Amino acid sequence: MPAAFFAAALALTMAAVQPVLTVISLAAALSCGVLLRGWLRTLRSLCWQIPLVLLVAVANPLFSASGSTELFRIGLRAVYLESLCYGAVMGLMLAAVIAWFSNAARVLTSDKVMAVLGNRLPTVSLMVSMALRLVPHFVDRGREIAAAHDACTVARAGARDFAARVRQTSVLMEWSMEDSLETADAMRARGWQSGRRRTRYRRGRFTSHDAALAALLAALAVAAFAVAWAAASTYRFYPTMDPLHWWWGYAVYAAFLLFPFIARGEEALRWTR
Amino acid sequence: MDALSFQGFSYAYPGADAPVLRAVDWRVPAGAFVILVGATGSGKTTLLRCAKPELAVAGERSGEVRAFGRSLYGEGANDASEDAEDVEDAAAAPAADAAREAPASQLIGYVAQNPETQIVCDTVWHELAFGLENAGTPPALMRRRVAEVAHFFGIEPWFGRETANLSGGQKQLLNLASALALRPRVLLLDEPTGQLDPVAAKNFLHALFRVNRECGITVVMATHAPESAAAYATAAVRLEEGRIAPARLEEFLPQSASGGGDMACRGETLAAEDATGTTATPARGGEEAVAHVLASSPRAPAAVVRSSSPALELREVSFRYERDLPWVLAGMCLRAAPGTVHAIVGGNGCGKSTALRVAAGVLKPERGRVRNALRDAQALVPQDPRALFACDTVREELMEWAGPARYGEDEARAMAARFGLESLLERHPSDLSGGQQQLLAEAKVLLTRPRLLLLDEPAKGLDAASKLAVARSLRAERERGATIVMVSHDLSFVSFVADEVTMLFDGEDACTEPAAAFFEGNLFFRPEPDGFTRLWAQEGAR
Amino acid sequence: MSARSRGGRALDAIVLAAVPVVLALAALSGFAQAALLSLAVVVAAVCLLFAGFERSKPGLRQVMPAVVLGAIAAAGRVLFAPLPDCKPVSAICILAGAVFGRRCGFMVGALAALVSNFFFGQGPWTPWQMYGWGLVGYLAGVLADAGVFERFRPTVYVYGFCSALLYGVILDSWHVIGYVNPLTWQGALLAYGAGMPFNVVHGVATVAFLLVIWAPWRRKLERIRAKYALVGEGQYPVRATMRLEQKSAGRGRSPRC
Repeated sequence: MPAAFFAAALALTMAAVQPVLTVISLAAALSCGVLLRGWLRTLRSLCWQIPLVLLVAVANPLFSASGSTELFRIGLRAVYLESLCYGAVMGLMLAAVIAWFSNAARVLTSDKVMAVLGNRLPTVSLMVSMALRLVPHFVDRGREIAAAHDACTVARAGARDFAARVRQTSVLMEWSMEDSLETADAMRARGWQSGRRRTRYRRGRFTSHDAALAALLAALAVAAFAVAWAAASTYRFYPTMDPLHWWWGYAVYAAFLLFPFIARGEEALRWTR
Repeated sequence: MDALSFQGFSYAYPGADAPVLRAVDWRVPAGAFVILVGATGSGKTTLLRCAKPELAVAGERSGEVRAFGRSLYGEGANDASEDAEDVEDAAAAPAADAAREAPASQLIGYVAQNPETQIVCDTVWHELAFGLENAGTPPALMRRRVAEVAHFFGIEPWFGRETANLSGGQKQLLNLASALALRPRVLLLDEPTGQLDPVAAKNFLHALFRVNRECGITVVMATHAPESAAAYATAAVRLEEGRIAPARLEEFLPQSASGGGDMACRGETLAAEDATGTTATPARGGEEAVAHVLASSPRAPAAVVRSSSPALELREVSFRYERDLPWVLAGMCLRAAPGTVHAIVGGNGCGKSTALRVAAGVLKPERGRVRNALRDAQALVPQDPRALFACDTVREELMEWAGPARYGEDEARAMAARFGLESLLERHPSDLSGGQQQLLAEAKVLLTRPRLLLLDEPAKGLDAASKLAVARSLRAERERGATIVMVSHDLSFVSFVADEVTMLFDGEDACTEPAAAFFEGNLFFRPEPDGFTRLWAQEGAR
Repeated sequence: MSARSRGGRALDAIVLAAVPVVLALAALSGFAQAALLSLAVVVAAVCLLFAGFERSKPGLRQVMPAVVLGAIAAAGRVLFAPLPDCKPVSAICILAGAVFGRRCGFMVGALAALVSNFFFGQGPWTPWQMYGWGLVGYLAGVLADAGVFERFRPTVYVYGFCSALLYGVILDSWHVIGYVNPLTWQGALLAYGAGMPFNVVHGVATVAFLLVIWAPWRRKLERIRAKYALVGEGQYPVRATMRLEQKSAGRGRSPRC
């Protein structure tokens, strides 16, 4: 269910290129970020996102000159207000997309991703899970190999140049590949590809509480998509930007994107008395 | 009924002239706990793998293997190797057919040596369920099996953890539990405790004992250290020249007062004959024999040990890997005099390996000072010897550092002979057994004639004879004037080879004493008699 | 080779080629939802290739090398992170494709990108990196199958350099097509040009990695491949299942794969 929510949020954010909707999405993404990742991490990620937004905002008028309100000229290229605004909206959208992605990465731990992929792609999801386990292990092992070579000063094995480091990488490769043979044995010994259809172990059942939340989420999602379609398909940046008005649809859109708060809200009420 | 029976079973590797297993006839009764011993390279692993068809390697097979009366190979065991060539088709082959009867191979569970590499999934719960998922177990039944096995092994507290963060002992216990979740009736284990520290090894063996006695599962365990498992076993066999021969279980048990085994006698003789003239006291048990040998092994003179200028000195060294991680070393001191063997012992995760790396100058201490007079002439054998292997044959491996360290082909050959590697020169380092790899790494490093030798677990995974070879070489290095600092779990090895011993605890050096005095004063930290102490005693007697 | 696996290969190639075609069409037609469309196309392409791999019923000898090499490439990206644009990923994908085949090459690239981003931060670029590196590995497999690398060794390094540029262009397209509107030729060229210096550094780094690792890694990987073949896909179970396979072959599977 979280996977479906994040997929919908990402799709909405990217589909609805309209200033108000984009700003709502970014605000929702950031507040969910605070909920899921805490103030500090969210602010820290914002630090490098602001320059990114500016970069995209500036890049658009440089790469594409169109619009009607000329602001100034750089050499022969004119910079138009519309183009700059489009860039700014795109930059905000990009920031929102990134924020949604990092929220998703926080919530969708590998076993949740596995649960989504597991039915359709059991081999591939197992590969992802194994690779995830191996990467930190290999980083440690790589450092261990480098340390061992650096320590053997009598053989001058620890030359710290590029070639020596790459050579140590090949020690890592061979060692790890040999280990993988043993892992393959362990998998075979436990009946991997015994020819039977794989089943899946699930921690926690799908409860009626989950079902109620899912139904609510689905209803909100449908409404939010309708709003996004209605708003974004009529909005034009070029040649002049349409004016913006208050509209009740925005509230629906925001309600959907703030769904994590709704899901957590009940808990918060129960525990903050 | 026999849980496992080999009838005239032979096996040869593809392209090999002589078979590894020659007409093995062996019956394992149901419910037994059998220890399988044999020298390195005697084919213990091959034998066990042949009893688990999924793991069988291509090669010439003949004869029969049965589990509970059901044949494991069915028809056409000999022409099975043809299939290996049909790479494309074999890859596409496995088709779903749930209706098929469960094959006899499912009666057999298998646990190998390395705890790390046997783990497939990233979380403990998924690892436990992995085999059941493969077998297509219905979710309800799977839930029950996982719950049951997690409960039996007390895994609940770490059920939700990531496998990467478990200790070696926990990993191996998880491997055992995962194998048992599939409800095998025979469990085959290939040196399951070879990579564990003594405490974890004992835990594991105890768990295995419960599996055998409480669940009635037949256990066959190949091991280099039969002494620790003998108390739990019901029988022992020895694999020699490709055949199974019965062995006496009592041989491996610690000698009781009345038993007065050969160990005690030898210790006594040795003590009596020793040139240093230690008075022979009546030996009543193995431990006392150890004490005798301990007292009598030649050591560096005390004057050398207390020499004023140490080769390596750690003064109040503190170290941690990251700012928000706990201190690994906190104010540790160490003085290693030139020309001595200094051992660091301590529990698991007490920072022994870290201390060694700090001493080598690879890690920089956050506080304190490291003075290493021999920094430019040092060498380190890391915990896993494979970190040093970069070449494609043992010969190239031994010659890799010939240039900078100035030695020739002849020296390399002599060193290989010293470590019993001369017949393996053309083999690939990865194809050696764990013990042989350890020997190769030590041979490779010793060839460079380091003046400071740092060793991380030099006796790990070695059988008694190889340990003796290592001990002899280290002694020779010391005679040559090299300083040796080693870290080890193997107390009997340490007790014979080291001049001084430091116990590391809680990031500090809890005490440093000459070896004999150190082991005399300990209640738990004592060497236990094993195959190595026996060989060492014989050596001393000669 | 069975007709089914040939069909699978053709499908893979079509899917991989479809991505740039769709993107170019989207760019030319000035489609308003280009950001969403391009992401959807690339995600769909990666998923279809994963599904193709899954349907080929890969044995452990295909699965394990891909996992290990993917994880090593990701770890290498972490270990070499202090040097910007000096990533061993492309070189490792190329080796994987050349030794273990095009599908393995794709899987290594896709896995390396996906998994390393769990450490560097996921973002909308993740599917693009998966596609980009996957394509690099896949094409290396195609070239190796055609015997190009065997016949003339330097082609490896040429391909290494070009593949880094290809990867760079694919990742730039992500930004250009999705986030610049309206798109003009000059604008596109300007954007691609701005990324070029980084791509060239990446290309040089890839060639440097290939120069050091190509020969030894290939030798080592081929040895591992032989070892996997020796252990076989379970000598004994395969026989039983192969017979079943022959029986069920008549019933057939979906003709597409």
